[in-house]
Amino acid sequence: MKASLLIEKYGFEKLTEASADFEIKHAFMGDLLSWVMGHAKSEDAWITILGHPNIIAVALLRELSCVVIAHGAQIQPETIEKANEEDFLILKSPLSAFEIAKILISEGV
Amino acid sequence: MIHQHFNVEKEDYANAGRISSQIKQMLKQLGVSSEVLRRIAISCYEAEINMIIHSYGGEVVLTLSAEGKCELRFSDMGPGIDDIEKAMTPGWSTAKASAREFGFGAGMGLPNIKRNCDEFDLVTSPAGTTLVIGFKVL
Repeated sequence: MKASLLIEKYGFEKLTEASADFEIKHAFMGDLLSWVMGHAKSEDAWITILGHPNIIAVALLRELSCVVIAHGAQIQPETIEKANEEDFLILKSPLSAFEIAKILISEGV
Repeated sequence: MIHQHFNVEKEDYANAGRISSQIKQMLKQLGVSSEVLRRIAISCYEAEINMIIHSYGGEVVLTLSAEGKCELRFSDMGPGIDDIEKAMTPGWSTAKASAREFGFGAGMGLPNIKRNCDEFDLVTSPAGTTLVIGFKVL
C-alpha cells in the first residue's frame, strides 16, 4: 500500500514534510530500540509509541521507510525537526499498534 | 589507511547515533556493501549507546586498513562491566529507568554486536572498558 493512503483513507496525521508517495511493503512493531536495530528489515514501516529523537537515528541507520506513532503517543518537537532535516516521514494515529497493523494487512502489506 | 576519532559524552542521549551515522556514511561513500554496512551500523550504534548509557564517556576510533578490514575501538573511562557473562546474555540489562523510558535497556546491545561483527574482543576493569570489533569490508 502507499503510505499516503494512511493519510487519505484512514486519517493518519502527517507530522513531517517528507513525501508519503511510496509503497509500504512490510512493517515492524516495537518499542525497544535494540530490538528494532536487531530485527527490523530495511524499508520496514516502524510502528511504535516512542517519540524521542533517537527513533530517527535508529530508523535512518536501519534504513526504515517511515515511523508510525501509535496510540497518539507524544512526540518531541526535536524528533520532528530531526526527521525534517533528514527528509524522513513520520505519521501519527490514535489507533493502537495492533489496529494499525490490521489496516496494513487489510491493504495487502 | 583511514584513522578517525570520535568523542562520546556520558548520557548524551540527544546525540545518540550521530557517530554511527557518520561512520556509516563514510563507509558507504567508500563503497562498502549494504550487507556489511548494515552489520556495522547495528554494532556501532549498540556500542555507542552502551557508552552513552553506562560509561563516564570515552572515544570511538575507526580504522580502515588497506587490506580491507574495518576496526572499531570503543574505549571508555569506566566504571567497567561487573559481570561480562551476564552482560552478554540477551535480555539482561543494568540500564537505569531514565534510559529505559527512552526505549533503551533491552539487554540486546552486546548480543547484537557479537552477532553482527566478524571479530569481537571485550576487556573491562573499573578503570574502563575497551571493545574492539572488526569487519571484513572488501
